[in-house]
Amino acid sequence: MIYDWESQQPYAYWLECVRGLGRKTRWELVETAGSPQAVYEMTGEEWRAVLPEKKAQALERARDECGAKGAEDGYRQFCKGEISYIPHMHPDYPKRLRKIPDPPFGIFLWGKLPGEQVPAVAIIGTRDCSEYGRYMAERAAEELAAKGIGVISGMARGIDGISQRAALRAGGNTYAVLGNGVDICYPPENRGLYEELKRKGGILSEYLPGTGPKAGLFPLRNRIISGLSDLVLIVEAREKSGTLITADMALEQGKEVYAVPGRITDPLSKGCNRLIKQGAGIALSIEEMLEETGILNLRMETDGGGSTEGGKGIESLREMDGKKEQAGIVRYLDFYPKCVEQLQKESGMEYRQMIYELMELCMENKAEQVSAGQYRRRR
Amino acid sequence: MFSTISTAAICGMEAVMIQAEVDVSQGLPSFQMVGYLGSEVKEAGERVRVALKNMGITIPPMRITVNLSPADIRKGGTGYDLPVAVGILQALGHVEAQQTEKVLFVGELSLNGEVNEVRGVLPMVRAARAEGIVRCIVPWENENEGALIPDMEIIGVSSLEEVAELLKGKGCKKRKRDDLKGTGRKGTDRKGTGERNKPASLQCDRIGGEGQIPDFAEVSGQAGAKRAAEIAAAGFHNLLLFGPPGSGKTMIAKRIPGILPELTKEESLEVSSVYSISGLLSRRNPFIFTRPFLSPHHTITAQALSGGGTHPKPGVISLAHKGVLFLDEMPEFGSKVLDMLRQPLEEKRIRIARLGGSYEYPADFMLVGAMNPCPCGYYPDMGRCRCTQTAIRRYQEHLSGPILDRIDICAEVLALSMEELASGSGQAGETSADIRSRVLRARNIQEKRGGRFNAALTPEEISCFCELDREGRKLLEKAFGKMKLSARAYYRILRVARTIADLDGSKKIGKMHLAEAVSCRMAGSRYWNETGADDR
Repeated sequence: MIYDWESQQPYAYWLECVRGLGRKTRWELVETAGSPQAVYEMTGEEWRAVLPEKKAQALERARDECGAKGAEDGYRQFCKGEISYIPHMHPDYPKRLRKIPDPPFGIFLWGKLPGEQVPAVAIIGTRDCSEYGRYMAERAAEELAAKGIGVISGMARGIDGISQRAALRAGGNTYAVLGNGVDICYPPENRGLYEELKRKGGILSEYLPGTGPKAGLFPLRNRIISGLSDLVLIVEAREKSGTLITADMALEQGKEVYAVPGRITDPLSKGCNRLIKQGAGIALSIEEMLEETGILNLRMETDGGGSTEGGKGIESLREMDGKKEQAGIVRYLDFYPKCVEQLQKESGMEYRQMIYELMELCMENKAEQVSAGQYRRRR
Repeated sequence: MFSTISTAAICGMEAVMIQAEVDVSQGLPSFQMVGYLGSEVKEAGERVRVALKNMGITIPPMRITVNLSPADIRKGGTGYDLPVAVGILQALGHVEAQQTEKVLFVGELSLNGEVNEVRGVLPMVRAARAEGIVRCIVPWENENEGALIPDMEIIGVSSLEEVAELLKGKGCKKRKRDDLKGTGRKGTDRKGTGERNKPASLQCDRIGGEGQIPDFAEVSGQAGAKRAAEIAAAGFHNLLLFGPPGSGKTMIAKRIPGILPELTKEESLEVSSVYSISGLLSRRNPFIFTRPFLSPHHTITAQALSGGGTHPKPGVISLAHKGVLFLDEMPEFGSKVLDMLRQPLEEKRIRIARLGGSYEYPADFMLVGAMNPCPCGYYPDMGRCRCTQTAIRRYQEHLSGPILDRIDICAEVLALSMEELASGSGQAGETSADIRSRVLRARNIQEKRGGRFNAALTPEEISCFCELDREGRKLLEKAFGKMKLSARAYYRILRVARTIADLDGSKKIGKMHLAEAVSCRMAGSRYWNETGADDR
């Protein structure tokens, strides 16, 4: 379908706004009529010929509301806001989404879209994650961000939010696909992340702004999360969880699925372990995972050097390796929290001098005080 | 015939002088007691009558009226038996009026005429001295307690007969305390022990008795937690210890009294008054000279902790006055009980309003809490902890923000590995005496500065005393920006830094002091993350 997209955009938006129409109906209408504008210009009889009475009435009502000013006016009003609308015929409409079965008719966007040439990985998982899941999600997101890979997730509680926050902290690109309107922050405790994503990443949704969070809408958005990414990494999932729906969709869409293994007795890792048994990749290390799937080369080559963030990320990674020879307590810190007792024993430093150095590192963001007596390295 | 005897009543922390007026006159034989009496005081009449009879004094069939004046103060307790009995003796002419002038009587009578111990003798004697009383006749068990007040003649008696002898004819013969020890101990040998069985709930974990405090040398490893305890003791900061079960939180907390500076004389008197009112002093331990250490079980009610009852009595927090209140398994206490501590922690005293009046008790204690970081206890050891983030948060939310706000120092007690335990037992750690000498030095500096403990410094005093050197200021600025500290956290860090500098004997607060203070702040732990809910 190739149209003159600029003139079609207002009509696509109008169609999106018609209440009582489903995604499938929209696609059908556009296919029968040829373009969104053609749908708008159809007569009531023509609508009734292809649609049930109720839907035809809904369309008529929507057209009447536009009145004499036409559909363009409504769209112009909408464009004054910060949210943009990218219908399927828009050249910026993510190519990855075009390939999935049941693609969204259009996307509402606050922020920016994921780069076409930049590889993207979806990190998803349970909402009530364990500390293990939290740590794995953070690490994965940080490493991916450092490599310039986009992190896509659903901004939900638990793994989703944690990985997106970590990606932002690492200076990477991250995009959230919501199951409600992009102007609504759900869950509310992720307000800080939501605001940051608007500025530094992107918030996407196929639902009209103002759509509230409804349980039924969330599984559907999962197909967009997996659709936008080249690989889906599942950090923690229970045996029956929404996360596994996303995994199924990813497989359906032909995406790679990786799972972080866990203890077999851990209910939060049951879903992941089950996936591994069914043939999902085992995410032992991000490096390995990327190599095995080759997604890093796949897109970077065509991109000619990768994104700027990616370059920087790798550099900073090297920088960190160089610091291994650096004197002081930082040498003894690890990504796993270590207690002061152990640090003192290993470094042989005086207790207070050590505390002072640790605090300095914390202020410089090189270390983190996990709890009162435990520290760990950060990046 | 009419007589007036001085005695005293306890109202909150203070004693009020009471006059026991007895009138014996013609009329239908009766025994009447008036003056807003509690039921235990109403019973006094019966005890007095029988005690007098058993002493060999027959009460003539006359109309006896007893009034405890002022009549608008509610009278409770059993200390009125003795003054009423003496009043009757005087009214009947067995004792001369001049013998009871400027003499305070207090004591409970048993039916055979023995004088039993009562509560609150210490504040009573103090009030009596202020009223110009020169001599106090108190139960034998309470004698040493009363003797703490200088310039007052305290006579301990064990029976009504002894009192009558004392007052008869020869006047109050001044007897040396040593003589008294052996006298009048007839009858039951219950008194021989010098201690009455006290209800277990009221018993202090440790009153007096220096040797019972365990020593820090027995704690192997735990440098961080020990250091935190030292800082807390030096500045009287509230402390929260957390760590996995069995790591030694309780062990460390129990050793804290051993490194606290001794009570000063005034403090000691204050603490002893509270114990006197609670009836926890005895002849053997008439005086509290070491800092109290109380560790109530977590099933304690808010009333027991705060003090209360229709006729209020000091609660556990008042018994911990100038000492340590140790709450083991703090989240188990329930938020209602813990939130009750908010006001006392701020004001260092508690006001209790009840039917009988409103009373104020001192409650300047050092709060030491111990808790597991999560329901299973092993968080953040991810290898063992199986708690979900939500479960951990819910567990930690038992401690409300306002309570956490009042805790200056947060320390982690770590689970020791096998080898650490094995190696630790060989080498002796620092003894409590060593740590204490450093604490005392820091306390001396604080005393010279103004007397207050650092934990009680006001913002004005902080700006005056907590001078930072250049590097320290730079570090604080960085910390402020990085950690998004609140104003309260800022003052808290400065108070702790001041204590650390005092321990060092340093006049200015340096970067090392500050860094350590920052490292033991509350928010430093993941548990109460700076970014709050947004990070969960």
